Amino acid sequence: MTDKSGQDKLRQQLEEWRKGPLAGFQKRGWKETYTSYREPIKDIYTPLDFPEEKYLEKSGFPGQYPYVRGVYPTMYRGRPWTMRQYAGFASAEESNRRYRYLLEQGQTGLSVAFDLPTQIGLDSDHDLADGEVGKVGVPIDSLADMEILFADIPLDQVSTSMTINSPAAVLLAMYIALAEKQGVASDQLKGTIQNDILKEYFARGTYIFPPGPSLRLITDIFAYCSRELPRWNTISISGYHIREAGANAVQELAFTLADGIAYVKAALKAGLEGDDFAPRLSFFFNAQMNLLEEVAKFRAARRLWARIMDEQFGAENPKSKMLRFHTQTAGASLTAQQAQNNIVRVTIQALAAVLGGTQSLHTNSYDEAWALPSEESVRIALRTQQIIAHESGATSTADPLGGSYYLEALTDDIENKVEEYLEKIEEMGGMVEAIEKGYVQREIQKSAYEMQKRIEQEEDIVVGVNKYAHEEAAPDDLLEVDPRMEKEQIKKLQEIKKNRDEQEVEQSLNKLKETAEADENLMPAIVEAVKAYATLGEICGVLRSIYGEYQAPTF
Amino acid sequence: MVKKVAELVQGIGEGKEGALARALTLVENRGSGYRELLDEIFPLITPCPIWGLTGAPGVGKSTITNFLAGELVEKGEKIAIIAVDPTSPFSGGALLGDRVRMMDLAGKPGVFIRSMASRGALGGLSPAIMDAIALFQAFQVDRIIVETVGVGQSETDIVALADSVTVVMMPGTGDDVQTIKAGLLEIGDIFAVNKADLEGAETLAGLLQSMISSRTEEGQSHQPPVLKMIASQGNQLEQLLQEFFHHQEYLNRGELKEKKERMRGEMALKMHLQARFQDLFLGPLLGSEEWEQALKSITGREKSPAYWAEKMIPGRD
Amino acid sequence: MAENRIRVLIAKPGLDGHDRGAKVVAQALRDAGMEVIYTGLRRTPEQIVSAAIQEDVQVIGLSSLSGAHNHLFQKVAGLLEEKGYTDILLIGGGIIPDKDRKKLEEMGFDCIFSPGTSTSKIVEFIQDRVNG
Repeated sequence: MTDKSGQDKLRQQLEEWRKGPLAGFQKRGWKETYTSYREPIKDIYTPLDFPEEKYLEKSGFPGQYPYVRGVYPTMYRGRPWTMRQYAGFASAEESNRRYRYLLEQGQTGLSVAFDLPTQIGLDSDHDLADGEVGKVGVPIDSLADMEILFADIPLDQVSTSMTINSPAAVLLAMYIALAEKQGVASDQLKGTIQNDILKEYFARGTYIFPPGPSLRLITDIFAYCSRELPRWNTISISGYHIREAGANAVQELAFTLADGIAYVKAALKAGLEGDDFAPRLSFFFNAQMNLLEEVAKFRAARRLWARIMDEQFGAENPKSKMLRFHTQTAGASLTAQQAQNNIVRVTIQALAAVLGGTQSLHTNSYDEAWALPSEESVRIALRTQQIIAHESGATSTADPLGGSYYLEALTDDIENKVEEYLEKIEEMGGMVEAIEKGYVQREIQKSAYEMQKRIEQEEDIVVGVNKYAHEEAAPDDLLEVDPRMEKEQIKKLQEIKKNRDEQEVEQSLNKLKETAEADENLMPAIVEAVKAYATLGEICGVLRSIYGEYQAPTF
Repeated sequence: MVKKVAELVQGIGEGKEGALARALTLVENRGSGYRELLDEIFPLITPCPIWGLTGAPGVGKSTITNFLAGELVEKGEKIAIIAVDPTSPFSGGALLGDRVRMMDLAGKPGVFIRSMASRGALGGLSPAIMDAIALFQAFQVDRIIVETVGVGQSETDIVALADSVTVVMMPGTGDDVQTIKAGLLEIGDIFAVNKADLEGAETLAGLLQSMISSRTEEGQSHQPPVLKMIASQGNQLEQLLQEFFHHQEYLNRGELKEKKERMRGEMALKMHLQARFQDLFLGPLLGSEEWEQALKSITGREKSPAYWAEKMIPGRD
Repeated sequence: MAENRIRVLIAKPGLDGHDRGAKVVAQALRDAGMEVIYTGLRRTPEQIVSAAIQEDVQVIGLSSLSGAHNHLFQKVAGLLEEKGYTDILLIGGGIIPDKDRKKLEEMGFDCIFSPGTSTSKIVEFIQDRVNG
């Protein structure tokens, strides 16, 4: 197919096929089809869409630039992806019990979900925390809660992922302080903090400070960790929530990479060396229903990031150019109607993540459109991953779908469309500006609303919702959080405040204030404050008093 | 209906938010009894300063309002905020999202926020806005802040209803020479160049400054200041508050205040006359037999629209 | 000439940041000719009720996906009752188990819509109840 005469011949025969057999059959039935980003899909894809002579430049080999076929040469034949189920329990005690059980079962990765007050830097007794304590995860008010959460868990032997953003520095500081108490050196600590503030402003909503100071906190963490916690993943740049908020595949990728670019720029501006921090950047994507488009999205993401780091930032270290990512199946695709159907949806989405070369995966539970998942539904979700890993054959070779004409064309198309977005955002003055102008929010809202309209007009079919629906009883064995939890947590908080050294707390908070005003790295001062049992709310309160709070743009 | 109006008037007199809110709806809907209501509350009115903020969507008006109102309430004032957003010409509905930006004011005693859609007004302000101001003044607020999206007619409308107008702009949104020429310069008593950390802010501020200087007539004592600010960081907001006060003092010194009062009265009168015209003449005509007949004749090139207008509402020329 | 428009307050009580559903519903109601006031995130029940009174809305729509609905929704209903605004149509949506839905509907909610409800159904419900 490399020679021109061969291409011409193919083109000619393709036209004949279109005019002849295809046109004839189209009269019997034909449907226009589109990608999630509303690009019409061709009738057929051929070598014309993916010429072989471009293979080396565009794809290369697994473990080699531009990493389209995977970031590691062996991929899943070397080691399967990490099966990491995100879970939150209403108290530190309960979470600790679960963690220890999982560790006994041979799991080495923990994933901590925090409740909303913790994610927004509020203590459990704050007015706004009313009704939210312990609801979507574990409440952490001070180091004392962290001590319970990780009791009898040696921190040098686990890797801990924490879904925490705006107050990430405080939770990381608590983890460091706890390790010190356990006698574990900080360079032994392994794990990830999400620490991705930008998407909070337009997709997830758990922001505290305005973008400027938030970026400073992030780059302080980068700098501190490159010295003290070299094995720590300092950020997980997340497209997951962007997609959940209603973005299409191209928008998910474009806005995530634009966030990534903003972080790299901020770190460089703060004087950090690119190849010091860039290898610790990791990503987090959504796996939606459209199997092949999703696989193409993951492949395009790797190529785009490799090129951005190489061409725009001149990275030298190959690890700086590798886009490593965690995937979660799409929560928003789960239906409340005929909830068991969700098991099938999750399977397809998980398969997309695996065929797309993910490094770790969380599979959702089928009952999550109704409530937090039950133990049984969580087990099925995990089993889904295990079946794909051991029975499906999807792991037998790296990037098994690579070379499919359709997939390769989609990969290129997504890449091009993402680049258009990135250029536009660059013209606006970067991602922070695009967010403050409300541009990103509007793009996502538009997409979300159009998606909803297509479902209501039955242009898009959701099985069990707008087609094949039937009357059914709602499930009743759902997980419930005991409302007494909140009172108990507040009591615990009051106890801690009573028993700590107030003078030490005050001194450490004053020191934090001075550091924040002086533009020094905030991490050491935060570590000192948490050691004195200053609460999360108090620490964030000091920073709020200096930085103010972010105000969302009008809708 | 009379009873209902009396209740509302009494409630407003007693400072009840619920009564004021219902009264605002009644005038906005031009519902039955609204004229009696406006008539009844007229003697209760205590005039108060009205501040206007106008500018393109997203320039930061609500952030500024959030700050100004917050400060004034701290000083013990009772504040009304009217946030106007455009009505969708397709559905007649509207998304009123200014409260999102006024987080600090949510539920705060002493602040009454009312979101209004522009409704029928062609690109301008809702005719009900003058009546809303009257209701707030009868409610004895100390100050009214009106926030409008600076598109089309509403920009010039705001001059007629507010004592002091701040035009908010930001670089990079087409706030350039053309738009400035289009009339913004004439309506601003204060100019705020927000997001001053962005590229082009200096140029925009400089441009404004030079255009203002060349416009200001000799001997005119108020030259509109141009403030560069970053409202989201609280930068220069206190200064803006002071400039509003300065302008207020300036108005109080001369005859301008009376002129403003007259302008406002005139606008309110015009709006009510228009409403009456709508109710008494245009409304009954729309879709009537005569209406259809006229349209047929116009499209059939028999008689001109001018002819029909005169025939429908005869009178002197 | 009277021009009545249905005014609706769409609010996010509590700390939940998921506003996709709230915003989609807000747009659908706007497109159905209603005036929709959106509060933004992180509002207390007190702030929501205060906004509803000042804006004189006929409908309040609450959205929560964090599991705090029982507590927060009930508080809104309680405050409305306390202040004598039971005539306001009170609806909700989000991740709400059936058992809680029934409880909330007993406590004064006119309807709790389950995930997957079409926006046209919500529009119809409001139009029927407000105009009907």
